Amino acid sequence: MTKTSTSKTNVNLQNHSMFQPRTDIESDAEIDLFYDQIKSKLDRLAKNPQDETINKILAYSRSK
Amino acid sequence: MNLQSYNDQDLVKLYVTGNENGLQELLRRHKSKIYTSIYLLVKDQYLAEDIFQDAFIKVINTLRSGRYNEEGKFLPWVMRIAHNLVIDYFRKEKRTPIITSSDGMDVFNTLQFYDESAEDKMLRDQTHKDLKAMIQLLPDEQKEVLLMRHYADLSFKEIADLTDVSINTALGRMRYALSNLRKMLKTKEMTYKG
Repeated sequence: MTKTSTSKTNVNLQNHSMFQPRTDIESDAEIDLFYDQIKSKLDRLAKNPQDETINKILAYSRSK
Repeated sequence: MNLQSYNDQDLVKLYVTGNENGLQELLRRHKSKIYTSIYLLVKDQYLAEDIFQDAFIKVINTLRSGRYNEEGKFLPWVMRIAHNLVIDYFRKEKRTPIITSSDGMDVFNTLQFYDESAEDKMLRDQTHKDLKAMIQLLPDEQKEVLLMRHYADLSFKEIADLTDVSINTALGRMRYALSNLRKMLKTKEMTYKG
């Protein structure tokens, strides 16, 4: 007789499935809405290089 | 001369013919897009400054030598150079760079929100830090697409060309990045509430 079993490793897939492909229920509209909601937050992470760095680049350019 | 109405290609031509203002305007226009993308990839301010500078030195050398392909767009081209320098750095180092400081707020933000309550400020700082940390938790290929799309303002075609994948793959990675950020934020909210 052949014995069958179910792998226990699949039971808690949810715990490490954060970065697995989307399979489900999340619609494109939901994702678009979410993106709209976080755009301003993402914008606040934007940064500029220091003026010193810009000046070095311009000085290099003038020296060429 | 008002250079703000010039497109990038005109500014490049101006610079190549010897007018330094062309480069100055290109830098003013794109520095934040390019620098933010580099910074969020390498997570180190000083390293980001170096890579940004090296990228523009390559830009200057290429433009001065007349090797720039005018058919290409300026920003995607610089992003490609910067992207390659970031990859080179990680290849050489084979390690994740150390985050030098929590760096938090810049002066502009401090001034902009000077009149908010201490509690609001704490919450905003926390969200700022959380989001930055969550972006760092994304798989590299998803993080890359998110940064190039949001900060560098590249099209999916340009991102696809730059990362050697199809447009559909680039689109998919952006969706996964957003989906994963959404999950992480939800989890975080539940932690706060719980």
